[in-house]
Amino acid sequence: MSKIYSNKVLIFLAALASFTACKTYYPVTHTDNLEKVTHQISPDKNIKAFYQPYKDSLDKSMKVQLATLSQDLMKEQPESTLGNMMVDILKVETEKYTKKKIDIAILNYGGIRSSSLAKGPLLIENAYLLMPFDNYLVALNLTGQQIQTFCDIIAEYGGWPVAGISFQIQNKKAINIMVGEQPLDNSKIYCTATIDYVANGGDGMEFLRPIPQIQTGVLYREAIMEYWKEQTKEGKQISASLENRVSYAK
Amino acid sequence: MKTELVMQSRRKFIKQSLIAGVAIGAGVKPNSLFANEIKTQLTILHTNDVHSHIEPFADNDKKYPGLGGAEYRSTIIENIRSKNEATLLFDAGDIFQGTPYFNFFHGDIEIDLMNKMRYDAATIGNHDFDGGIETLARQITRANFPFVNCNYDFSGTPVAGKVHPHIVLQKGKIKIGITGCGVELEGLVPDKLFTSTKYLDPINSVQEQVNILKEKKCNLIICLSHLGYQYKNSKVSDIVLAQQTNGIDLIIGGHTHTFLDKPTIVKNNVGKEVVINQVGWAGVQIGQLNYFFEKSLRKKLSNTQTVIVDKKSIGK
Repeated sequence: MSKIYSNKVLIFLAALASFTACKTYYPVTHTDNLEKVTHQISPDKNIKAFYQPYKDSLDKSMKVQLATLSQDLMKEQPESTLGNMMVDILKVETEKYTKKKIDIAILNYGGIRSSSLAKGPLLIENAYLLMPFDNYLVALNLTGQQIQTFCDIIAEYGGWPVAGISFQIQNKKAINIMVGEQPLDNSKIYCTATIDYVANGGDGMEFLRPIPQIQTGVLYREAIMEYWKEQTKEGKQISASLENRVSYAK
Repeated sequence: MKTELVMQSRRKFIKQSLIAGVAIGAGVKPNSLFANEIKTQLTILHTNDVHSHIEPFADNDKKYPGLGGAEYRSTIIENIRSKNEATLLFDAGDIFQGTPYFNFFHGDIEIDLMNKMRYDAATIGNHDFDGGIETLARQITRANFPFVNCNYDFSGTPVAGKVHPHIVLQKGKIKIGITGCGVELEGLVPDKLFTSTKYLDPINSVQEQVNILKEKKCNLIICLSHLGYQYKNSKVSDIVLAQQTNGIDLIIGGHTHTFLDKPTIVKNNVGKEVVINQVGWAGVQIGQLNYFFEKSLRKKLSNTQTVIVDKKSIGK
C-alpha cells in the first residue's frame, strides 16, 4: 500500500516537474512611446564635453559663409526649389569642367541629404550637409531613347531634380518630354550631366553602367561651393523657383 | 516627460483593474488572473539612420528646428535606464554619413558616443560602407557593442569574423535573442565600397537565425533590420520580412527614414503578431517599447490579453 502511494507521489512529482518546466516567460503585452529629442531636456554635459573639441575644430573650417540664400528652399517630389538649385549647379559646373554643351542634368533625389535650406548665409557646412558623399560630376552622351528610359524610371520614383528637360508623370511613365523647347527626339544624342554614383548604376539606374563617362575629376560638393562663391563674386544671391519641370499629368 | 510616463503606467493600471473587474464579473476564476499577473518588464530603446547627426539641427531648420543632438539623446536614455535596469538600446543602421563629423573623423566620434551611451547592439546600414570596407571593419572593432547581421557574407573582406549572425542577451529572467539584416547593396552602394561582400536573401537568412534563437529558448526575438519599412514594388521590406517568417516578436527598422507615430503590427506566416517600429532619422526621436512578461504555459493565452490591455499598441 505504502509502495503504491509512493509511486503515486513520484508520478505526481514528475507531472509537476514537467508542468513547471514548460512554464516560461512570454511577452504578454507591450506599450510604446516616442521620445522627442528636444532642447527641453537637460543636456548630458559629459557627452557635450566629449564632442566639443571636435566641433570646435570642425566649426573653424565649416562655419565659413560662401553665399547668401534669398529664400527658404525645400526638398520635395516631383519637383522642388532645393532640387532645382542643386541640379542647376550640376548642369552649369559640369558644362564648365567638361567644356561641352550640357543639354540635360539629372540628379538622384536621395542624393540631396538636407531636407531644407533656410534663407540666409550659406556656409561650407551646408555643402557638406547637402552632399556629404564624395560623388563626382560626370557627363554621358545619351540617345533620346535612353533619356526616355531615364525619365520613365524617374517617373516611377515620383520625380527627381532635372534641368534642361521637362516632362509629366502618367501611370508611372514620363510623357510629353521636352528638351529645352523641343520634344525629345529618339534619334538625337543629348549630353547629360549627372553624378558618378548614378552613372555607375546607383539608385536603380543599372542601364547607365555600360555607357562611357566623360570625367571631370571634380567633386560635386566642391562644385556647389565653387558656384556659390562665383555667384557672390558677381554680387548675386542664391535663389530657385518651381518651373513645372516634373509634374503629374492632369 | 516624467509625468507622462507615470500617467501612462497609471492609465494602464486602471485599464487592467477594470478588465480584471469585468473578468471576475463574467465568472472567470480570480486565481487565473493572479497567476497571469505581470512579473517582469523589459524596456527597449532604439534609434535608426542617425547619419552622423551628433549636434542638434539648427534652430532655424525648416523641418527639425533644434531637434536631435547626442547630449539630449543621452539624457533621455539615462533617465529611462534609471527607472528600469532591464533596458536595452539598439540601432538599426546608417550610423554614419551625413555631417562633416564623418567626412573628417571617419566614424570615430559616432562610435565613441555610442560606446558612451552604452548601446547593446547595432546592425549595418548601406551608408555604413561609405567610408570603405576597412573603415567599417575598424569601427566595428572600436565599438564596445556587437554588430549583428546574418545576410551579408563578408568572407574575404576585412569585416569577416567581426559581425555576429545573432546574439543572446540576458536581462534578469528574460533571455533576448537578436539577429539583424541589411538591404541589397548592388545598385545602392558603389562596388568599390562593399567590395566582395555578398548579399543573401534576408527572409531565409533571418528565419535560420530565428530558429536557432528559438532553440536557445529566447523569451523575446528581435530583428534589427536595415531593409526599409515598406515598398510599392515587391522589394523585401520589414513588412514582407514580418509576413513571410515566424518567431520574430519585434523588428526594429531603418533605411526608409520612416516616422511611425505608432509601431505597426503585422501577422506572420503562422498568424502571430509581429511589431515593427522605426523612428525617422538623424536622432530626432528615440523609440521606446516596454514589454511585460509573465510566466505561463502557452503564448496564446496571453496574446488575447495584449489586445485587451493595451489598445493603443494596435497598429492603425
